[in-house]
Amino acid sequence: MARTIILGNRNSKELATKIAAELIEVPDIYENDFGEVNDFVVEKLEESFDILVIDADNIRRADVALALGLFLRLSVTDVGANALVPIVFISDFTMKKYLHIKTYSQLLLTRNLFFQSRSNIILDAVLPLEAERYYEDFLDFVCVQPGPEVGRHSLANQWGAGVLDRLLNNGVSSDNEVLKTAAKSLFFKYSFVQTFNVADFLKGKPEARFAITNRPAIQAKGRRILLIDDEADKGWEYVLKRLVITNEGDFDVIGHRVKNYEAFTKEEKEKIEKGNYDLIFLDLRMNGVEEENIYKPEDFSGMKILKQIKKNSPGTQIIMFTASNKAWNLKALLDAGANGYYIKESPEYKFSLGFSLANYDALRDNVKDCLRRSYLRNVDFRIKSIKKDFNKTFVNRNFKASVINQLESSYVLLEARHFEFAYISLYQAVELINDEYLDMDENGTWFIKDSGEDAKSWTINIHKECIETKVNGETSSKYPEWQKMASLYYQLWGQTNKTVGYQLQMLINERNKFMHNESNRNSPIHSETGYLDLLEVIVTICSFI
Amino acid sequence: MKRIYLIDDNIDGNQQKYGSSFVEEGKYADVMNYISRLSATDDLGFVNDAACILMHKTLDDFYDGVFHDDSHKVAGLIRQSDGVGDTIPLVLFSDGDTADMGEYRQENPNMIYSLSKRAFYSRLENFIMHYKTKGQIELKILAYGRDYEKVIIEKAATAVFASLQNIGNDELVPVAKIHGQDMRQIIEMAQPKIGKSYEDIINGLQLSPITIGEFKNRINIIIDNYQDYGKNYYTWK
Repeated sequence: MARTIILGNRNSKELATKIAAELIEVPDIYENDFGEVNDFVVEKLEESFDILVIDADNIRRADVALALGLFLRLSVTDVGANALVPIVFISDFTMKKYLHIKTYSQLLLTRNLFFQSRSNIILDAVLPLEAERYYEDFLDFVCVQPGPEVGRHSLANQWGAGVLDRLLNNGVSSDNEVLKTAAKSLFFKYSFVQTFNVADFLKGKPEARFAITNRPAIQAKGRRILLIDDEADKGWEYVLKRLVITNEGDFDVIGHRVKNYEAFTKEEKEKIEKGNYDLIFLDLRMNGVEEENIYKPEDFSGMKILKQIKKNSPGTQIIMFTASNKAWNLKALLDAGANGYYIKESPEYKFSLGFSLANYDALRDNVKDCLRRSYLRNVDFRIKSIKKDFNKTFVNRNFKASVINQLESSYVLLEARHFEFAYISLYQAVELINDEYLDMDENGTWFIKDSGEDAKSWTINIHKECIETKVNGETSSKYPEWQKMASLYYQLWGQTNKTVGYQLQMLINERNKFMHNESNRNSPIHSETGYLDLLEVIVTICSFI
Repeated sequence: MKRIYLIDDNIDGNQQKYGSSFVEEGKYADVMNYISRLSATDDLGFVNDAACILMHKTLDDFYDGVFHDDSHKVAGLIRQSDGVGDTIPLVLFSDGDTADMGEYRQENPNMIYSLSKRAFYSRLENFIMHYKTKGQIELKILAYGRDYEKVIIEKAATAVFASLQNIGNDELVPVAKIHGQDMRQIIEMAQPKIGKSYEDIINGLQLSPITIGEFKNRINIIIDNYQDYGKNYYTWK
């Protein structure tokens, strides 16, 4: 026997008995976003049944009576096949009373909805929606628009964060209040059922189930992250903290509106510039509804902020978040120095599950890459420090310019991931320094220009220490670059750290091997490691200039 | 022309949120005064000469340069002023009130006891326009919306139908069971085209009974007329 449920109030009892239905009383619902209607449907109509009767005249508000049916139809992922049961909408009024109710009255125009007079109820012939015809018989008759009080920007934020949240949480919304509330809205439910195939979902086909798409979080303990988003509280802070797992206190947020970089407070600028962030997530629209009618990429607040941060610190890794999927906006972001972007999915566009997955995977790869390349921020900082210190010295201006130029060129190559060429370019700074401080006399002996003292010969002992060699002790025209630098370090500047000379020899040997095609694939010259080691030595050397 | 007084701290920006930016822009400054800050020591004399008072139910007192969300003395003083809520119409709205249909009591037509802020601000412009063009304070616009007559007649019809629920459509109308006050409201709102008074119709039903189905049909025609034309064109036969 078919199980029939009737929704009404205590006045519906007699009718329930008459049609052999189980009565579920509907509480008085006033809220306009109808989150309560959703909760009621999901909670009370979860168990299997065959027919739903809505006793509209005994539900306090006509729009609630209609909304109950509409929410049920849109709750496929919550109540399964119950969402397809025939709905019998009964009233003593004519349908006209209900047709003027915006949005919710669309239920009455869909198939497998039966409008009947309460004194003449016929349940024998009512049939459920066919899952295969969910779209043709139901969804195609319905059009739900977002409420006027929620701007497009906020909508995309709530929706986009919700998508990412589900991907990280086995396909269901997690316990975050903001995301949960947004997911209950009629517009989001309407948008959600368009992202998968209802028939496949009800058949349990894995490819239709958002639930199988669980994506792992990114472990980033010891890394520092900054989120700059005026709507961080719309769920982004919550979901990004779940996406990128940092230590407590290593994920900071700047979450208010600004029109450009200058609009940040002094403390916030300091945070951005000196907070040692390995990665910054930056929203393209940081100024709310003010930017809804902006079309040129360069006019967006986030773009202005991106450019300023990159101007201050090109090595800072920034992933832009944007609800725009326009190619020219995305290209402009990359041209301005962004290290990646994530398209915040908007309910206005129907992104497939496949897109969501690819979008997530791209974000994950981007985040990992940025975290790996966050050394660039430090490299840039070190080069800038050398430049700053150089400017305080009285050494030859051309020499200073040449060294800086060499360091900056090497940075560009490093950023472009040309590790070997970046290394060689950096090494040339060593040659420039040697040339500035050392010269060879007529006899082919190298000497230190400042003191006129002969440069010594150096060797590395079995303890990996750099010591003065006893053999001859004379330099020749084939005096290696690492020994020249050692002479400056130990003789001219009077330093005693014996490992510096060893490092110099090792690093310069790597360069020589590469130049002579003898470099093996594990050599640090083929990754950023070699560059960073060489830079450390150069920073040390430069501190004495 | 007396002036409408709107008193709301608007701390949460609900005016803008619900489409009433015109308040702060002063669009209706010719008929309405907007007050966003009041303290219990301010001169509240304006109340006595107001066309009506529209007030945030839990208006925060403003003193020492800040709003105090634990102090609502001024709202209490205004409510207790002579004639307010009686000869001087009073509307109380609040974010805490979730009902979009104002609590509007027949016995006190000059007061709305509670109304959601959302509903209030979304209906405010129609209310002001009505006052500007017709010179009448019509609280029902705030309570039920611009189409308040449709809402009222539907509410009455719902009550009348409820009194006949669970009786088959083929049975004759049991006149004694009809909810009289609501039936009277329907008939009065259906004038003049309906052509008969409430008493005439009730007497007629007693003398020449009709089925419940037919009775509901007739009421529905009146309701549908209101939906289509904003008034009744049906004549009771």
